[in-house]
Amino acid sequence: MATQMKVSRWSRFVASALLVVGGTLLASFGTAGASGARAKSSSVPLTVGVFSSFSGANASFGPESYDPCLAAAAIVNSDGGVLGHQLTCKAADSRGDPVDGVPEAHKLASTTSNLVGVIGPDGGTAPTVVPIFGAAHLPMFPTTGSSEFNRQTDKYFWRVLPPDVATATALAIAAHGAGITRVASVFGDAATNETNIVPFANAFKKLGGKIAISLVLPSGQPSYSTQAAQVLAAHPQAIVTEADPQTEATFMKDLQQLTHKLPLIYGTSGTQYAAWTSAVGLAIGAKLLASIHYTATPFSPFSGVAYKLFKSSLLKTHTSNPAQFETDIFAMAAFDTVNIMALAMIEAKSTNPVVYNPFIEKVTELNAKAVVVNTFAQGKAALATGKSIRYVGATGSVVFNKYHNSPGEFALVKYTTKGASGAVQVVKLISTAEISKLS
Amino acid sequence: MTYYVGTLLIYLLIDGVAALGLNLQYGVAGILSLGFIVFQAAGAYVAAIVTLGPDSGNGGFQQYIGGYHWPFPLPVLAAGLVAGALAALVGVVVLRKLRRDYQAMVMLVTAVFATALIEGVTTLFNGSTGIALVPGPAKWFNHFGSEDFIWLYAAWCFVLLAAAYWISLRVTESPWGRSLRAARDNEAAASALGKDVVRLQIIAFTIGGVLAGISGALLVEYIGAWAPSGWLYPETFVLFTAIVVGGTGNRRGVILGTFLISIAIGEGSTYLPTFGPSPVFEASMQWVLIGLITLVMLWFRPQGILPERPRRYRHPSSALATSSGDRAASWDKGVRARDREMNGDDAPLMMAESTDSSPPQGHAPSEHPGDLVLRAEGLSRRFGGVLAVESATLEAHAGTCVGLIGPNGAGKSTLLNMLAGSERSDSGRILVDGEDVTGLPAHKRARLGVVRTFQLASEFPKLTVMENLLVGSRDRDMNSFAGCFWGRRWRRKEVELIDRAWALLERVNLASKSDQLAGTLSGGERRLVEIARALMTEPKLLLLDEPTAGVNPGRIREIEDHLRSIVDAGVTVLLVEHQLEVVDRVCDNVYVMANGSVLASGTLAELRKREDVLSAYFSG
Amino acid sequence: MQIYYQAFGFGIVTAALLAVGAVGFTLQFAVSNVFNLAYGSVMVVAMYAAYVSLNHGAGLWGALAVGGITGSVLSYLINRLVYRHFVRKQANRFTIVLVTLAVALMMANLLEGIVGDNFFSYQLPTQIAYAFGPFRFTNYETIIVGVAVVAMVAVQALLRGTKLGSAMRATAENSDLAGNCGVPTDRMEDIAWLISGFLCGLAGVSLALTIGQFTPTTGNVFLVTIIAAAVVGGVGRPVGAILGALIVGVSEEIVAVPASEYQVVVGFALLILVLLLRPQGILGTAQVRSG
Repeated sequence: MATQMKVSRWSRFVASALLVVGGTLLASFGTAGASGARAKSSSVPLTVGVFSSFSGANASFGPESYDPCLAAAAIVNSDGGVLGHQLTCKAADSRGDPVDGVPEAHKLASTTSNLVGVIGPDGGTAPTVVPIFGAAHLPMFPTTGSSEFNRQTDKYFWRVLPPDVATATALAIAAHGAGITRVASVFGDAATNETNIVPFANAFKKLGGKIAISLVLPSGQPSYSTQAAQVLAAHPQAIVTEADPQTEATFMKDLQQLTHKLPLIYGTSGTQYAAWTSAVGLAIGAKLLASIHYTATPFSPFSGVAYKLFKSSLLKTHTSNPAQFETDIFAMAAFDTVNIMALAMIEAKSTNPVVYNPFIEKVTELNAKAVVVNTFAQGKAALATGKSIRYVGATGSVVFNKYHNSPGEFALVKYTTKGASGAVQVVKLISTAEISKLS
Repeated sequence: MTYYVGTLLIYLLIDGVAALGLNLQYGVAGILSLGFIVFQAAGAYVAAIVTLGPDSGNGGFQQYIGGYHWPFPLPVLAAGLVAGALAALVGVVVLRKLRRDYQAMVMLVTAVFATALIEGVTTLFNGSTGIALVPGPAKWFNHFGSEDFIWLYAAWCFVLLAAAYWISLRVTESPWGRSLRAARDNEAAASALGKDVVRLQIIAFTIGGVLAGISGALLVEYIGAWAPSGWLYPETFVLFTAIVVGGTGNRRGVILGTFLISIAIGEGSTYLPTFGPSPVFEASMQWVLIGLITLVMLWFRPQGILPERPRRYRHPSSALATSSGDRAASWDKGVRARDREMNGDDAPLMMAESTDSSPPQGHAPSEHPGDLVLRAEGLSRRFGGVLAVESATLEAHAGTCVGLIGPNGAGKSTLLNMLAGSERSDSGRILVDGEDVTGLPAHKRARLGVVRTFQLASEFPKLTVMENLLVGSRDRDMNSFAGCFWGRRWRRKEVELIDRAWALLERVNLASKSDQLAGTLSGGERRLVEIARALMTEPKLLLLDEPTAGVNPGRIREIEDHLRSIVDAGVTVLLVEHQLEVVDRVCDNVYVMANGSVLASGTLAELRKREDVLSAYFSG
Repeated sequence: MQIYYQAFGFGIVTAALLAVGAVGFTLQFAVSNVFNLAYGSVMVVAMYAAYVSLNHGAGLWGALAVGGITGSVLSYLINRLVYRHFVRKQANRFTIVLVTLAVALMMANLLEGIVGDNFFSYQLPTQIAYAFGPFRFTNYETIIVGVAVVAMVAVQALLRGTKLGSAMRATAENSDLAGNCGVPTDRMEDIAWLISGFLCGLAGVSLALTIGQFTPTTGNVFLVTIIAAAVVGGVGRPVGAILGALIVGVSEEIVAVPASEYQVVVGFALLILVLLLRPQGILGTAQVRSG
């Protein structure tokens, strides 16, 4: 029952009692906890909050942002810090649901000293937590893919990765481009999975494709054999999918047992993280998975200075298993986010979120005069000489539109089983223009 | 900081409401409501649906919108009503027919499937995405996010918590609540006193559901969103742990427990420096800690930090009155001049001071001594392949004691169970005062005056001796749910009852222990409490199942005397007894059972002469 | 129509898993009156034990045995070290349910603390299902069903046909009475927990085998389905548990044909239906509250 169990709001219930009795005590507690690294630096460290699920069904989301945050902070600190401050990361567990997320968000915003920005909130809590961080004037970099933020107007909101609807559309374009005209749509019943179903179907049908069968899998069942048999009976060329690792693995295993030749798997970017590939790989064989699995994901070159720095610093963090995020686009985005924040503060010459917030756009926007930089060190050096900069990081170019969304390019990628967690091969690029034409 | 403290305060108040609801269901009514969170969820969904305005589709991201836009505070009320209705429905299905532990399992399964249902059916409340952008009463106070709103909302939650506390207080401390607690402690004994246990429990369960629904509505109106991941079934477990730690059945303990559990493992631990390889590891260890705390508490202090307190009653005219509570004192106000000469219903039966043949009092005993009070004809009961009772026939005349003896396994207790209605009979019929009661359940027979005691001690252990007796009250009027909120209806009668109970307790020399929890008494004392409690119902037929079992031999004589005086006071007694001396001294007519059938009847002296009886009894 | 036959076949496999689990669960309840919610955690520990044994070359049968024995010993220990003391101390069954919950929490999370939340899998060669009439089974599934059938028959034979079995049934029926009649009830209880624990372990390993991978949280949902099957059949009745497992398992697969997303809900709908019609479960007796 472990990760599904949540300490829940009862905890808050209590703490409020604590607070009502002795708020000051708690405040000093909070300060102490948040500023553990005070000794080394003469000035106070700045904190980047990581507001995501560390428990519950999506417990893997938290480390996916937290580990790269530590990696980026380490680099920033080794390169002299930000305006004389060191950077630290602080995890805040949203538990993936609004009930637990709201007080946790308030706590993060209220009790963390020198909080300069937040990576998050994640999908389950975004609709309620975004306004909280907005009201607290905290720049936030949500990891949600929900399309309801496509035209949002909160000026502290910065979404680095494209929304799910774009992912689903890109997936349709990629599949169509590979000559696939007949697919089975198989998605898990979690909120993050289901948002893909309709956008994908719409785009794929517009392109002339046919959805041979569409199924929603209830999560955590011991068998999906019947669904697998139905999928096979519909003779799809590919299965378009996104589900939680356990459900997907069970389904794929059942599918594999019923056929000598599995259809191709076209997954959303929700099928490229380590837990998913590990679970499904274990169920049907990592080699087989690598040979049939394609993913439409926001573009990253998976090479270059920025990516290499991301990878090397990630592996140096003392967390339980950082290697699993080596080719993880969400982890790369979190890494870039910290760099963008740090550079924006330097350019703004202020660590005050209200002051530096507009500079987030400035250090990333397309500007002919700007020097393109790929690392924090490069950016810091360029800014020191008075030039304006444009940060292009591990996830490639981030350009915010007027809704603070970054539509971005997509790539169809294929994972190979070389190395510990698999290397990535970019099969095809999908441009922003192609996607916007269909969505 | 304001937001954080304010939010915590609001959550505290809201969870206080929920905790009181669960305490009513579990602490007071004894229902292991493992699906409690479902009622909170139901309230939240209802509030969300009726609050959302027609423009809340959020660009098509929300499908399940009624567009009702009900103003504050209607959504909260609606939530309470619907959640209560849901609880009533669950209660009717689950509580009516199933055994208690079975009920718990079914409710656990229900909670799990409820989330699966909502998640699976995407068009229902937006599936796993949940409902967001619920406006809440913010408009009525201020716009969302302002500090004033937080404090105003906290005040509103406080008002509702106070209301919930008041309701909980009224329900628990009324005679109706006393019956509920009695049924919690011993269901069978409560039915034997005429309590409709199922009905009591369904109502309590429903009130708990209402409170849960209100808490859900308060929550959703504050945070503005609600999704299945927020009400997974383990949420209920934390709540249970908290209640157990704080003190089941004690309102303040319940609220305290919810604090403490989380101080140790929830909020507090997030201020500790990070340990272990990842935040995920910490989350696991928190749960290990919750488990450990629960186990340790259940082992060393199962009653909780603030245990349920005994309710004390003072007898106004008695010198024996011990340390009295203020609450009890208030009941006595102005009603000192009781009319003890009151004839009819209120005169205590055991007031027959001596064994002279004072005429039977009250409505209970039959009009003319010698009338047939009980007649059982051809009763049979089969368990699997065993015929436990075979075509048994017996009679009892008013104002007599009928003994029922026989070797172990002869079917005596089964027969008594059938007569009391706690066991159905496969064939035959039972007449009480000529009226056929064969199909009536135990509590209805009790209301007709057929009251039993049990072979195993069946006091209500967590009620005081006095309360044990008061539960025996036959007064349906004051013992109703509505009565909880209508104090004047029962306070006056209560004083009379206390008086009667005192008289009974003095008679059995237990007056000095009236404020003790019955569970702390000795075996013999428990027996006496049980008998006195049965007498409080003014029975016409008392079915006693081995009243001397588990009694110190030195005190058996005392019980005998009491039994005899009960019979002399005009109550008909059917005595199942092992000790023949007792039967000899108390009973007039005796039936002998062996192997499920009635072998013979007569006085014990006559029976001792019969060969077949002797062989069945002594060889068998 | 073909698909419905197939679904029926798949349902048999699910039912086999459920039956082994549900019989073990129901046996524990019958003998000790404990609704053991830590059952799912024991299942998961057995999965890991089998995993370790496979990595040491135990082979499939060996892994099943190791899983079973692990479940057996662990269940026995939990009952001896924790449950029995609480049962003795106070007869309150609600408290016992909370105790089992606490044990479940501690075990599952300790395991997670040790192995992390990574995925594990038995490294066994992949198999393709063969056709058997309209049904399709893999060899593993055949083994799972076979093991289930053997286990069920063995348990029935033990309970019905041996002296030990009657002593156990007597203990289950009325522990005090059985004790008075000279049945060593404590020993009977121990044996029952060893047997039910073995079934629990078997169910765990079989589950891990069919779903292809597992984590410390695997089996959360499955335990609830096991409970549903046991309740549908009549708690405390091994034959009822088998019947309940068949009904729930098969109907879940068949419902997946027209409505995949309702698969889970079926178990619940069945449960409610049975409770309304036969509150004591299909084969249950005397489970109805009196009064």
